[in-house]
Amino acid sequence: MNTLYLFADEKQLFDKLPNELKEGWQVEEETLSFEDSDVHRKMRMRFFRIHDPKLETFCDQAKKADSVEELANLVQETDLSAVNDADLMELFFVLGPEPLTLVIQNLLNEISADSDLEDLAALTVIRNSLLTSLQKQSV
Amino acid sequence: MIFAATPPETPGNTTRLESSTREIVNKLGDEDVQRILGRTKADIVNDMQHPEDVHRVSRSLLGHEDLIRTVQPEFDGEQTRRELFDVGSIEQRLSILLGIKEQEVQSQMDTLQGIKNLQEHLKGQESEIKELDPSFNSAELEEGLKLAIEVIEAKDVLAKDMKSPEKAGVMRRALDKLTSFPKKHPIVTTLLVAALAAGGMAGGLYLAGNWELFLTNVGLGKILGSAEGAGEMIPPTLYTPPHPGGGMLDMPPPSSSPTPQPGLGTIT
Repeated sequence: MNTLYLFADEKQLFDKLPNELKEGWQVEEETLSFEDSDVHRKMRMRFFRIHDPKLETFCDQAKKADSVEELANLVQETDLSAVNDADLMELFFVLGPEPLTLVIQNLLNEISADSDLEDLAALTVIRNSLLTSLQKQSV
Repeated sequence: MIFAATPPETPGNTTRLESSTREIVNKLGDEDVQRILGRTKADIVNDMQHPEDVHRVSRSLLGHEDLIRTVQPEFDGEQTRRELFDVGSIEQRLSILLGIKEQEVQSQMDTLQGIKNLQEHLKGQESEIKELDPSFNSAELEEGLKLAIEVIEAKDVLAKDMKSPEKAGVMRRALDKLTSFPKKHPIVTTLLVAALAAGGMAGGLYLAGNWELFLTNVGLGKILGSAEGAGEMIPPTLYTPPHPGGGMLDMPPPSSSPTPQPGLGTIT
């Protein structure tokens, strides 16, 4: 995994990185796009399916939360390690590519090590898959 | 609990319609009920156990408004039509319009073939519905069903993409990488768990009026630009057709002013 799928403006940020950081990384311009909408997000949520017992437990606890603060704490205490790929992709699908783009752009401004680029690559691969699935779905 | 069990689009309407319909049936004479509904009054009363049963009766009563007013002078046909045909989630509306149980509609909505069946069924019923409610317009429901098909197809593309020989290995490594994210990039995990919190409530529950406050509390307001922006990116409610006159992007009213929780860290 040494390819970054970056939008043109993101590539400009990558190009400004020191050469030693950029070495070994390939950039493919992300050409897919998806204009998300509230209606589409809600419909994606309509088809949201999870199977991991850990996530189901989280949902049960979330429904019982007595306050916004309690739910916020629950969210912040939950990690997604060991959650299966299919459920993770369900979450990404519900989320859509836009929040990922914001994270990617923030990450690009804070790259200081090769491991940061590995993290970035993971997110751009996932975003690319989301865009591939959604590109014809703009509403 | 901060979650409400009923979507915001139908506050009180179904209950009013149901109680009004029960009252009408109870007050109508046996012969009138038999003539209008084709069954004995005792049978009808006995069968009105579930909302969809009551809705079917409400629908059958339309067109007999003069008779209904003899037992319920305040009866408002227009209001009844609106409550029957224009309000509620896509599943609720289809249930009423097509005369099938909401659970059955939900089940059909889960598959491409089921949605196509609903589309056909809706087309087949449209002229009859328009006789009862000339202002009925199926376009919004049809658009909702079309969007449901698009989303199912998109999920199918995503699943195939994940398993494709070109992508499978890369996706596997990308998702593996995520397991190291919680400490290093808490915002990514938080985004996903927030999506889970929203999606997990898709059984008909929603975060009533507090969604923006919640997103701000988990620290997403910063990365998503504002609490309002955060709310737009991860909406808490299920898809429902818009209110009459509300347009496709009609939204529930915003929450009270969010209070950011300090010290929730840097965006990573």
